[in-house]
Amino acid sequence: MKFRTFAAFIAPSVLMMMIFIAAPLVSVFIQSFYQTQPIVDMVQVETRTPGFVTQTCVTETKPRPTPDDAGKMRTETNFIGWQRYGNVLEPAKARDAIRNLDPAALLAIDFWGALRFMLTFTFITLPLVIGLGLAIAIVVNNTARSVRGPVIFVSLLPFIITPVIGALAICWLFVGDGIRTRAMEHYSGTDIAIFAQGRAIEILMMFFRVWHVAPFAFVIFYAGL
Amino acid sequence: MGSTAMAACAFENTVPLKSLTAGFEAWKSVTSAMAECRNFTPELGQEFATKQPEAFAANPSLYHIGGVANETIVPLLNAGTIRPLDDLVAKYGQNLKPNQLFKVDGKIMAIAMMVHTQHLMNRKDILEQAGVAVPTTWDEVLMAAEKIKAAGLVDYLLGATTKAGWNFGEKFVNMYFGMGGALINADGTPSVNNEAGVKTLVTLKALTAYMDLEYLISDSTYVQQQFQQGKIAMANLWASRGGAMDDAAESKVVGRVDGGIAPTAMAGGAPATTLWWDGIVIAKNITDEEADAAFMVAMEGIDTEMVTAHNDDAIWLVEGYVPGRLAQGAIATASATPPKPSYPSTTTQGLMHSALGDNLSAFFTGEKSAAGTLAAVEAFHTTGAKEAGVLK
Repeated sequence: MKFRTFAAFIAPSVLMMMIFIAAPLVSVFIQSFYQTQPIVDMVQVETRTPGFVTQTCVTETKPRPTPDDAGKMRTETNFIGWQRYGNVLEPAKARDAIRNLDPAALLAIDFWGALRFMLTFTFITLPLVIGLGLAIAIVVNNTARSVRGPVIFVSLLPFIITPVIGALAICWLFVGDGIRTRAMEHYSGTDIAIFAQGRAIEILMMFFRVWHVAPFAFVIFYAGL
Repeated sequence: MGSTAMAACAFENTVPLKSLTAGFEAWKSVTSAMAECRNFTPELGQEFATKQPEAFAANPSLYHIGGVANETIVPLLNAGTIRPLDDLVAKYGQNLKPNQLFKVDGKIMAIAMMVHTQHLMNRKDILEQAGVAVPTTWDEVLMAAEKIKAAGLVDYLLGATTKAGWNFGEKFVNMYFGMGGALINADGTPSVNNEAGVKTLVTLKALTAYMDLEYLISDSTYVQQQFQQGKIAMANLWASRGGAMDDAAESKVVGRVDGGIAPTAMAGGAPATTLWWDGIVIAKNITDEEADAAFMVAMEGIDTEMVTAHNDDAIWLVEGYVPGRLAQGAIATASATPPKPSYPSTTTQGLMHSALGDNLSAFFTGEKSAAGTLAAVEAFHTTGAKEAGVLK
């Protein structure tokens, strides 16, 4: 294909991506160095709040944005540099935690805890999804032609179920009084509270992810077999 | 609309009006009463708080009447998108009681129609069986729970709206105020990492020993269902959930749940809970003619007729309300002396509530100590307050 034809074909798509993805990304990145705040004054305000018998009167100092002459809220924009990133990453605390080899302190910072979860989630679910998808594809490939259709249908079902419904199903199955939990409690004789443990919820999420996406891997692999 | 079964609106409204309110039962009753005046389109939903600030800031405003509470009026007040109601009240508000008016700096900014609070709902039959009186302090609650546990009468002694996030923040705020603490200093800095704060955390932790282990996902509906299924004996629950206890279609404990006063945290202190009100505001960015009509329609919506027809929907502030059995606890709480605080309507309170909601669960999962958790709450609040411009 001549390059000009190729360029003409992808031009609309590239233009859309530039306008709706690339330009906003750059703009947001630049905006992250600025902060726009309403200009507030600390004013003494008397508030009378409705009550059942009588009002409660409180006089307190609260921040109140003051409008300008036209009645609009005034805002000011300041350049703050890397402050936003600092607030999220908390480099001083993070550096201390690493220096003291204290994982608990590092993970107590929201960002690093979330990063840890994201990495565990990705590195555990991805191999499982690919492995399971490949396994299903091989099994289906070796199935008799007569049953292959229904087997494919059943294998694809988890991927078709809307994640919201799937998540609700997991909740109903595993919450304190859920169906699966009751069954497990019956067999083990002890009280089980899966949702009370953070790690248990993470495992449930990873299980759901693998269950939900493995069929997609299966479809791709099956196409190649 | 305009059914003859319920007395029709006192006047015929000719100005097209719209309202945006929350979706719970009380608002459904009020907006259907307003709709009888014709030319009125209500919009109800739990997303109202997200929509309201922008909708009211539009010129002309997208809605004429707004349904608000202590917390949700703050963005509208700050942006100045609702109008003072003094002259409208003088013209059309003869039937309003003085304690229905929400005033800021002497100007009436909202008309309250109901109050709302968390109070101690309890299974009086279980308490009687175990030989315990209805507790009036949190220490008594713990002792009562221990006695009922020893008698083995119920699955879990206590329920609580301790879902991580806003609910848990609310629980903390209620208990903390009950301990006599103030969340924000006069200069806007947070003040929660102190003796009252630690006491609050320790008391809450002691209470969780008697709850279902999954209390961090327990919101109002969860607790309501626990009561309805007969799984818990006591819980500090929102008064509006009382009606559901007697709903024969869902509840196994019809007639056995009673409303008690919210327990106090300190001897001789106020009930450890906050008072909330729900009411209407009128937008600023509408014509005076529309504002007049909107106010008249709103008055129709919260008049005595509506309250008589929907008496048990809420603890109404309107003339003609007759408190039912399940409302007694909330009313006792609302009229107690010393009086409990109203939930503060300020930006800083909203920021503190978010800080609490996001950080408290660390103490309950054992990740952080009490002091560490409260320090994290203060740091979170400070960052949020600086970003919002309320703290330099």
